[in-house]
Amino acid sequence: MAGKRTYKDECNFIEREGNCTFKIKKDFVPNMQVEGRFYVNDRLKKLMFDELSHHSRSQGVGGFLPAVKQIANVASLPGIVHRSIGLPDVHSGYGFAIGNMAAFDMENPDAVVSPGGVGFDINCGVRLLRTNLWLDDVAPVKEELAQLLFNHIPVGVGSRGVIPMGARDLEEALELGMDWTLREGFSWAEDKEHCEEYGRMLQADPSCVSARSKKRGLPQLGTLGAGNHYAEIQIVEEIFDKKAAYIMGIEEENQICVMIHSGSRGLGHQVATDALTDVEKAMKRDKILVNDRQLACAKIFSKEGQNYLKGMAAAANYAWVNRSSMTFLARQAFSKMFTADPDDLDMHVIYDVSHNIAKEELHVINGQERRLLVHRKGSTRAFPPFHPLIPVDYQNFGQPVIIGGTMGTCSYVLTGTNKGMDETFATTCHGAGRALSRAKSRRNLQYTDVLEQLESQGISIRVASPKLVMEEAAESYKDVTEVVNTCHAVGISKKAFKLRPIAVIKG
Amino acid sequence: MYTRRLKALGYLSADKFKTNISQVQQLVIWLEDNKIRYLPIENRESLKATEFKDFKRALNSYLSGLGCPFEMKDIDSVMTWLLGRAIRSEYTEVLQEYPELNTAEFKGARAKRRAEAVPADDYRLPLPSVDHPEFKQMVNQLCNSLMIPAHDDLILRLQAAAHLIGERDKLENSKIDKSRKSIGLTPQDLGFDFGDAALDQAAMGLRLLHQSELRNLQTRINEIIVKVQSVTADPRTDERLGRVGK
Repeated sequence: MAGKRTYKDECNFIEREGNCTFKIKKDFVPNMQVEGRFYVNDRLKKLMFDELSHHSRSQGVGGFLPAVKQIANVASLPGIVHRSIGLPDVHSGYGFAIGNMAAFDMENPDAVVSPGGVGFDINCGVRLLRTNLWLDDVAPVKEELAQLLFNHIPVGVGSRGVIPMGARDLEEALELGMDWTLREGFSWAEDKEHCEEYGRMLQADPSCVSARSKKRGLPQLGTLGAGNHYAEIQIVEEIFDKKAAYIMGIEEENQICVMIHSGSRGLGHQVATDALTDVEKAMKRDKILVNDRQLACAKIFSKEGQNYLKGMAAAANYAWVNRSSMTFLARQAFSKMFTADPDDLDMHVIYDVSHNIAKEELHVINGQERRLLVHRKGSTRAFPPFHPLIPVDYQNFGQPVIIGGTMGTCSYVLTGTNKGMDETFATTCHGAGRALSRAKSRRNLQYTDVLEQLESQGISIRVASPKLVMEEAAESYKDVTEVVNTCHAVGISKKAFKLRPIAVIKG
Repeated sequence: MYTRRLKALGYLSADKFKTNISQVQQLVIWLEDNKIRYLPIENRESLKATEFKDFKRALNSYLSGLGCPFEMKDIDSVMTWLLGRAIRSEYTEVLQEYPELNTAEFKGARAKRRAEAVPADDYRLPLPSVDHPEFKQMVNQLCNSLMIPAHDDLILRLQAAAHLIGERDKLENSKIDKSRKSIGLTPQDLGFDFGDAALDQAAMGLRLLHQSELRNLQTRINEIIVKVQSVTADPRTDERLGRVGK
C-alpha cells in the first residue's frame, strides 16, 4: 500500500500542529487505532522527512522502515491508547522506532506487550554520580584517572567482570536487583533511593529467564559492554535551572560528575530474542494481525506476555546490578586517585534512568485514571513535580532525566514537567539518536580522525576496540543539543544543566 | 595500677599512690586498721616499725598469717593480693548489712522505696482524671505560652504541645549545615498560585512539612539498610576474573 503512494501523498497524512509538533493522521498506515505524534524542530525535521522521501522513492525496498512509518505502525497495535509518540531523537529500530513511547490499556483484554517496544538492550540506562571535585582538582591527573577507571571497569565485547559470581548469586541478583548489591555491600543505601523503580522490579522472575541467557549474563556482570555504552568523567558546563541543579547537589560550573551508560549486556539481548520466538507463536494462535512482522507481540495477560514481562523485569534488575557494580568500581578508582573515601568525595548517585523498558503505570485519560503498560524504547520516563514515585529530594522540581550525549559531545540533565505527564505520559528523549547507520559510519569515517578530534578537544579516551569508534563518532548521531532543546521548547521536560566530557572510557 | 581498687576502698590519696616503702607501709597500716582488721589492735604496732628491716619482718609474718602466697620482695603481687583481700572484707561487711533478697523482693523493695519518696499528690503520679480543673488550667497555660490555637479537646491540645516541644528540641539539637545556602523556594516553585499571598505561604508550609516527614521516613529506611549491611555486606572483587574485551 505504501508503495503506491508518492512522497507528496504521504506528506498529506502528516500535519504540523505546533512549532515542533507533528501529527500522523489515521490511515497513514492501515488499522491505526490512534493517531501518531512526533516532536522535531526544523533541523531534526529534515532528517525525518528525508528518510520518508527516500523510502517513497525506493518503493519500500531495503533497510528498516522510516521512523515515521514505524510510529504509525505502532499506533495500529491492539489496545494502544492516547497516541504513539516519537521523541525528537527518534530513529528506525527493530519494529518500534528508537525514541518511541506507546501505552496499552491493561484493562483491555486485547491489549498487547511487544518485546520490540522495549528493545534488545533491556533497561539500558544512564546513571549520574556527582563529586565534590572541581576541574582544577582533576585536570592535572586526568590521564591517570582515565587509565585508572579503564583498569577498574572491564569494557568491550567479550569482557568479563571482576565481581565473583556463582549461578546462585545470579539468580538472586535477577530477583533482587539493587537490593542484591545493597545486601552484598556494593551499593550505598542512598543509591537505591535515587534510582528509577528503586532499582528493583518486583515482578521479576528468574525462572522466566532461559539458561542460555543466564550463561551469557554470568561472566558479564559489572562490565560496560560495547556499542554506544560508555563511562565518562564530565564537568558541569552550564546551569539552566539553579534551584533544580542545587537540589541535585550541583552547585556551580566545572563541578566533576561521572556518567555511566550501560544495560543488561548479553542477558537482556537473549531474553528479548527468546521472547520474540515465543511471542510469534502466540500471535498465530491468538490471530493478532500487525503491519510489520517485527512488531511481534502477545496479549499482556497471555502466558507468553506474562513470561516476557517477568523475564524482562529480571533483565532490568540485572542492568541495575550492572550499573551499581560499575558505580562501586568507579568509586574505588576515584578513591585510589584522590586517596579519599568515596563518601568524602560526595560520590552520590544523582539519579539512574532506564531508557529501554515497559512498565505498569497509572495515567489519566479524559479525566479517568487508567492502568497502562507503558513501553519506552529509547525514551526516558520524566515524572513531573510531586509525583509519588519520585524520590522525596526531587519532589519539588520533578524527576531528574539524564540524557547521555554521544562520545565527545555533551550530556544534559532535564527535569520532568506536568505538560509531559499529560502529553507523552511523562516521557522524553533519551540521547542524541542515530543519524547514520553503523555501516555507513564505518564507510564514511576514519577511526584515527575520530580519535584525533577527541584529543584536540582535550578529551582523554581509553577504548578497547579503537577500530569501531567511528560508529559512535558525534557525526554518526543527531545533535543532542537540538534534541534536548526541542523537548524543552515543547515543554515535555525542562533543562536543568549541561555536562561536557573530559575523559571517556569505551568498549 | 591500683587506682581503681584504692578508690573503691575509699583511700584518700588513691591517685598519688606509688609502691615506695613509705607509701606501702602507710597503706598496709590503713588497710589493716580500716578494712582487714586481722590483728588485734595491740599487735598492729609492729607494722609501724621505723626501721626497714623490722617492717619487712613484720609485714612478711603478717602476710603469712593472712595466708598470702607472696612475700614482700614481690611487692606488686603482694599489693594486688592485699587489696583484693581488703575488698573482700569490705564486701562481706556490706553483705551483712543487707540480708539476701530475691529478685521479686528486690523489685518490691525498690517500688516501695519509690512510693515512699514521692508524696501522693505529686505531679508524677497519674492524675485522678483529665477533667481535674487544675490539670486543665495547667495544660491551657502551657499551650497558650506555646501559641497553640484553642481547641475543645484538651488531650489533642496537649499532644500538639508535646509534638511542638519535641520538634523544637530536635531542631536545637540538629546540626544545621550553615555552609548550605537557602535556595529561596517560592510558592510558585511548589506549584501554588492562589492569588492570595497568605494562602500560598500556608500551602507551601504544609507541603514542606509533608516533605520533611517523607524525608525522615526515607532517612530511617536508609539507616535500617545500613544496619542490615553491617551484618551482610562484604563486597569483594577479584581482579583475576576481569578481562577487557575487543
